[in-house]
Amino acid sequence: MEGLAIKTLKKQWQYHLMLLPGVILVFIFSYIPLYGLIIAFEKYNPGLGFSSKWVGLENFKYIFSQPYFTRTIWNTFYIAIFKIIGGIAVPVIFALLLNELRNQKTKRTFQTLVYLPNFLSWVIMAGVFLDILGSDGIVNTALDFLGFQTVSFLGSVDVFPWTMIISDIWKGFGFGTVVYLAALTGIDPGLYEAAMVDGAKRWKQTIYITLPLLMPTIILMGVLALGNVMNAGFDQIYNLYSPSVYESGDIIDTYVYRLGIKQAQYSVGTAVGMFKSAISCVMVGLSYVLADKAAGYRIF
Amino acid sequence: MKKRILVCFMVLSLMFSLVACGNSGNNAATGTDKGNENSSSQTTGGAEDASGDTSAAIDIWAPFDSTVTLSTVTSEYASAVYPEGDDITNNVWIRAYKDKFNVEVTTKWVSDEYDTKINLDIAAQEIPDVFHVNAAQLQQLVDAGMIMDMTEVFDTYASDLLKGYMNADYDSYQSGVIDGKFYGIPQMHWGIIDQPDYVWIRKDWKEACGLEDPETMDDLVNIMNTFMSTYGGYGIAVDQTLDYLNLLAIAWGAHPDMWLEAEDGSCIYGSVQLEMKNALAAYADWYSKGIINPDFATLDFAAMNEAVVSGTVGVQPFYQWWGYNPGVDTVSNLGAEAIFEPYMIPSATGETVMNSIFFANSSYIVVSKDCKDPEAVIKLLNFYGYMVDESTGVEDAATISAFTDNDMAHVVGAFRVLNPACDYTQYHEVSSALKSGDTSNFTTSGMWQKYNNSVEFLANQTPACTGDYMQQGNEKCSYGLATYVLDNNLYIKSKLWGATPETLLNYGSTLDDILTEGFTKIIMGVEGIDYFDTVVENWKAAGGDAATQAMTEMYGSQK
Repeated sequence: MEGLAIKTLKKQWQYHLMLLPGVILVFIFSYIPLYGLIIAFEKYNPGLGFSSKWVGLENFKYIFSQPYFTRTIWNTFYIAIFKIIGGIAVPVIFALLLNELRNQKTKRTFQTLVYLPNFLSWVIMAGVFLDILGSDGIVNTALDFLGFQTVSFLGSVDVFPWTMIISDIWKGFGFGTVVYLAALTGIDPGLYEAAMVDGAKRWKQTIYITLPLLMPTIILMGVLALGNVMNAGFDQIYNLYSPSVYESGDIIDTYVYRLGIKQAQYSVGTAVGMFKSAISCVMVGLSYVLADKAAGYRIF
Repeated sequence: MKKRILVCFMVLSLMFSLVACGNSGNNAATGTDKGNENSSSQTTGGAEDASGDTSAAIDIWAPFDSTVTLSTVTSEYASAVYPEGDDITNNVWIRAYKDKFNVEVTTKWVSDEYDTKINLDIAAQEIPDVFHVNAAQLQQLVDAGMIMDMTEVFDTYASDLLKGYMNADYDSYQSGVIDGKFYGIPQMHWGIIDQPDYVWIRKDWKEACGLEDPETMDDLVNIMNTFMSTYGGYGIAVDQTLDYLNLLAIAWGAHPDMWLEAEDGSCIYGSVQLEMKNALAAYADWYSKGIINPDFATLDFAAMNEAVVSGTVGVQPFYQWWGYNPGVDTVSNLGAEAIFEPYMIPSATGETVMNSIFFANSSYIVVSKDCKDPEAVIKLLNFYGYMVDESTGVEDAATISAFTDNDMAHVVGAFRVLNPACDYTQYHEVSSALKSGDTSNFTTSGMWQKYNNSVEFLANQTPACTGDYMQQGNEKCSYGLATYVLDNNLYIKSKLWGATPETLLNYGSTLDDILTEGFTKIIMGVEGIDYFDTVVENWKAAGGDAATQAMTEMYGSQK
């Protein structure tokens, strides 16, 4: 056994050497700062540093005693999960449709067009959305003109999360589309020819060839996205929400921002961050197991 | 929160008018050299002034024998206009420190992220000799034993003028004293005259519609309705924070955001009292009638002001600095006729309206424990007070201009304490000079600035001068009304007067968030007015009760 390990190492030491800088960087910037989590258990005073007064679980007790904290967890999950589902389904469908286009020029034009919003920051997009979704914005003017009731997209507790979900999917799906299109080009055309010989039409080809071959990519994207389940999109929501929609739109990050950063409450901020990381860690593990069980896909 | 914005804008307001109306900026470079010679001869005069109060053996105006170095940190002052070659680390003040006191001030960093950088310095235990901090940071520094007790040094070296500032607002002074030691020298403020709030009404619309001054809240609602039917738009300009809408709450006898005294001497929070419920009921009624923009919950400060500047709304509850922002933009965009004039917030109940007055000091000068010459700090503070408050008539105009115009009075970072009686006296002198044309009583450079800009606005309607004009120059101006409020005691002071209890600090903005959220729902009609009681219950459960108790322990008069 030991001999084998040495033998492998002898054969592959170059690879390990190449890996080393990355490992060192991760160690320095991701592992050493973990020590800072100690702040979550202290009443942190910057002047005293890490030797501030130890308060145990006091900060965690404080967070959970806040009546609206549990609400932010629920909101975070709700918004993030629908963003993840839509963020997978929409680009997959769009990539499949785009892939059917014969004209390469049209295909590329659309591909570029849907990719564009991805490059704009939410600070800018929020300004645009505030304008077009307002009560006298272009959307409501159109609704009114067509005889529908106007909608308070950013002011209504029921509508707000969906405004966030849909606008975020719209903004981000171009990136996913590009990834899936790339995966599609990797599929062996011979498979389609064989299917055609067997009499399979477009729909059957999609169901039995394209989708199964696309599945590893979808699962990979899904697993990566699940790690973000506690990140419902701070920059988007922070720029678009208001006190009237805190009930359905206040997520952990915006809550921590108001509590921790604005008031320099480092300890509480760290405690929430740690709690968030713990859940994210569980979610990543869970998604990994699911991917293995459901699709036989393993990263390691 | 409200307070901080207010202070920010006071600062902004001053710099705004100075830059825009600056009339003597170009000769500042030459003025400086001359000024130094002149004022060095003057310091002897200052010494005579001061020798009476402090120990006769020490000349507090004397330069150090060998050069003393003080390190500091500061943030950029965007609107300052420096003479060629100068900047925030090398300017007329820094040179004067060296020439007059042999004190060399070095700036370790200049950053717009001042609070964050200071927090980092504190965490790294590498603080400069002198810097300014907020109340929370002051407490942290004291706990960590990093700063110096200034009691004795201040006593020995502070000028009469500087000590006078402390006496003029003794509570602010006290808030810098921790465990009986004077750790944080309060930087003070321009006085509580800047605190009463007003409803600002567009002048040309009001005249065109033949409307009387509002005496009651019904009159005000009538004005809003008339404007809407005549000019369209909405009745009143408000934003999502409710800070501006809530300025009107005093009409119902409510004092949101303020700690009040209950009959039994305990402290209670103004936002959760019954009077607030009445105010909210009225707001909800306005919202349902379309007086308030249905999108107000998404409007920030800039978006709120946009409606004023673009001429779609003619009523705005606002602070005394309306003339600086959005006033300047309003006048440039719509002309001087479209100016808004301030009125006292009219009563909704028939009772006398009392204004809310909050604790005003938010910044403290601290000196590192490792600083070798703390007396140098006090000397420089004396110098600032002298230049701003006592130099008129002693120094020549060019010198004073070099030190104060073009926002030079604001580039000194930690090296200043403001005169808390400044604006009150200033308004008195400026308004009488505008009536009589006699400026011989002017003693400070600020008086000249406000006076000159008001004259400029009257003559040429220069938009950039709107701020000073609407604050002090116009017949209906905010300080005119404020003087009336102060002279007739039409105000209530917050019980939170000095240091903030730690319990309250720990809750941060979460408690106010609960109220803002609930109140917004009530105003928008999502919830009925009785939801107010639920909001208050939530507030209490989230820590409102604990905060109230902590306040009562610290400031309550019952024992």
